[in-house]
Amino acid sequence: MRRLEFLRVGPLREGAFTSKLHSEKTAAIMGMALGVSFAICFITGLLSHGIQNPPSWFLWPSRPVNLYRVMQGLHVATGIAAIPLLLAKLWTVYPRLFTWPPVESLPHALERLSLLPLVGGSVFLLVSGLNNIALWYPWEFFFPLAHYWAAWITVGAMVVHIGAKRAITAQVVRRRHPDRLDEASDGSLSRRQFLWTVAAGSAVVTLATVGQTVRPLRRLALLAPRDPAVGPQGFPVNKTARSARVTETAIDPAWRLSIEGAVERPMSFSLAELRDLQQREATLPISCVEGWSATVRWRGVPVADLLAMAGAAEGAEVSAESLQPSGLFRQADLNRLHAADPDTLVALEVNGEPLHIEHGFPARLIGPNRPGVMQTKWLSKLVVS
Amino acid sequence: MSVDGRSRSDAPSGAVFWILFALGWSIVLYGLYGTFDQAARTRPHSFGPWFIGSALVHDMLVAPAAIAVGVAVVKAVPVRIRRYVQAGLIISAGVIAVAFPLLLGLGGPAGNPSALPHNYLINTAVVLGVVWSGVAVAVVLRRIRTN
Repeated sequence: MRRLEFLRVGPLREGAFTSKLHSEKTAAIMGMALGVSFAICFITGLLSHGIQNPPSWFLWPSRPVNLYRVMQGLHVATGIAAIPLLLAKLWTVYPRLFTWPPVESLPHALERLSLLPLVGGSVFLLVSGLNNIALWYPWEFFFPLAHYWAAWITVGAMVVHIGAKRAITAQVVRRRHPDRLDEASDGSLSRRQFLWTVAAGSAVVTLATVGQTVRPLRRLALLAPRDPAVGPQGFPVNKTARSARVTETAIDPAWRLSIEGAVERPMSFSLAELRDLQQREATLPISCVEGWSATVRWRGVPVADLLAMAGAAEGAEVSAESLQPSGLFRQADLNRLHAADPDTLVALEVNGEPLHIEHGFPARLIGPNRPGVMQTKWLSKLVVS
Repeated sequence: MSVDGRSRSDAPSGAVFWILFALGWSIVLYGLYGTFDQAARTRPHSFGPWFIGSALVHDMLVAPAAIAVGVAVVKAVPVRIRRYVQAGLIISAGVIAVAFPLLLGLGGPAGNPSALPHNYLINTAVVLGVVWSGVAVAVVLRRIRTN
């Protein structure tokens, strides 16, 4: 290694980084905070993925009504709050990238190698998630799937990192470390002040965005990609009628909703016939996977009533299909709990008016505790199985 | 780095390290397996460069820029307001990072006025204005208290 000493220039020099904030204690505290944030994002993300791609053993309930809304709001808000935290953490440990000697031993080499999926994955998850809520896709991959697999890679690397750092973290965090020892004599932030500043940074970006789902904070949400009160009929739209290519079929007077599949009596209804059926009102949120939500009052025919009329078996499951001719979200499944929930509606009205075409005229699916992408708009059939 | 100035080996060791190392890399490999198993939609030729590029762009551009700004602050900002300026810059960096894709204005499907409903340039300026007003208030309060 001594022969390579001549390479030790620039950031590899001893003492190249002078700030006292590049310390183990700063790194340990922020590391723990990031660990908690990423754990919240991972668990809520896995659940959201499972709801949309359910394995056979996974039955997502239709209650509590707002569970998905809170979960996905938390997923996105935690990810946003983690952005200042991750930047500060990476800044704190940046000098370690230039550790000399670069490799001390096999475990050291393996531990350092594991930082590539950790750093790449952490930054990738936050950048891709942020771009996704800003509806900006400068890549070729399908965001939800790449984000999902990147999360596994990152969490695996995080487990390795915890294994490598748990001892030193416990040691430096427990050590009583009078703040003045870290107090910089040159008027710079002390460690404690630095940590509070990073926390304030997370608080500012949270306050500036979380109003997209926490309605009382709506006016503060200057940097939110959505305002829950902006859109046709007073709430946002994700997929537009034009992009779904339903602008003609949705307003065709010959439109009918058919109930087919495993039923005794396949049926179909015109809009007028649906209006003549017993209506039910439900106040339910649209909870987008992108973290915004808006709660509004819906009115329509319970799916369970339609299934009973058609003679579907107890515990039936339903595939709701859209007029939308193609696209991943043209169809959504209702598991037996969602199909049987009395508040799962074929909605015809919202806030006392017929649905705007952007909200799924003539009829849309709306149910409790479901991701927005599974609240199928411009319904054409319910296929029972 | 060191604890209380004592330098110490960086190398991890012990049974727990190796157990978590094996578990962690199994999870990483599961993630890689899933990525390639669903390659038609994860598009590794695009996903890979974005993933690795995230680490490279951070380590080669973002972090050096932050270090350079930090050095400039220590050189140029008077000692008595230095920590306030540092705090303002740290919070501003977080705000700009979060606003970045909105500021570029490249996102959003055409014909959906409910998506990205704000003027994000103005709004980012407002948020930064609030942050730096807070910094100014802190400086003034500090002066009043020390006088």
